[in-house]
Amino acid sequence: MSNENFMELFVESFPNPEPGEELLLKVQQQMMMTMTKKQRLLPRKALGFIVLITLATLPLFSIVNYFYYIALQQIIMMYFPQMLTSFLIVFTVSVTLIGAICYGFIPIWIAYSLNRRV
Amino acid sequence: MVTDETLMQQVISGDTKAADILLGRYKKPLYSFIFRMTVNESDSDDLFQETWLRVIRYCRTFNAQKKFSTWLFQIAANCTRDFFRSKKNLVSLEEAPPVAHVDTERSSLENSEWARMLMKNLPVYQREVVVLKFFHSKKEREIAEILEIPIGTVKSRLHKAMTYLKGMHDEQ
Repeated sequence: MSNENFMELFVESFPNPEPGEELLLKVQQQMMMTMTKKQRLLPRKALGFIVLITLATLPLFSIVNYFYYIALQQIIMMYFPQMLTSFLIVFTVSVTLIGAICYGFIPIWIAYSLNRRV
Repeated sequence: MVTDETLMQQVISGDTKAADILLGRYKKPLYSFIFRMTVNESDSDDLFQETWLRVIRYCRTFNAQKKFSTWLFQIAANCTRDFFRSKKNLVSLEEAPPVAHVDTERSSLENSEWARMLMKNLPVYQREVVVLKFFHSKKEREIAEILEIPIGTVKSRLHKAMTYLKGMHDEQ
């Protein structure tokens, strides 16, 4: 049997069901719900604006973050006993670093969710 | 008649009627594609729903320069791939399993159970190429666009699939 005949028979004998009315109705309702929900969400342009603002304020955020760390270090050295200061400084550094990373991830995450694979 | 691409623009601006028209136009070919991929009605129902939900969710990523049908089948193919990946221990995506023995009285192509079994044994990546080419009469270039693979890969998968299917059929 030639390849063409073989595929013709294969295609003909394969069942070809259609979507049921119930399923179509369900899909219609879900689509309508999703569209209504979507309209309430922030539009794409607004999200793009947030990305730009976050990127533009990143250097400022880094400077503020640095001064915040210096100020906290001074306070810790002034008010806490010697044995606790090194631990508290490491803790502060970690917390401020995590904060900076999270802030930097805002535009990355928004850009990713806007362009991710469908 | 309003084109699919125009209807998609209306969907983007929130027109639910346009979405219903698209659903009406593509319900049969889309369901057939998904059923041929999963060979299971209940899984097909779930994936059919998921595909249309993704169409609405990601409607803004639709490029009006491209054909709507290509984009729709791309979403459906991604949905089915995700589905098979989630049960990767049960189904192979690339490698063909050893030829399964089928206990049907007539292992012929006139028998729809036999056709189902042949399709089920075909690795998913080859199955999607076969379904688009022979069941939906898509051109190789369009298949490559839908599956986001080079044309050479489409050709090699088709060749492998044909050899495998013929081999399985001849062995019975």
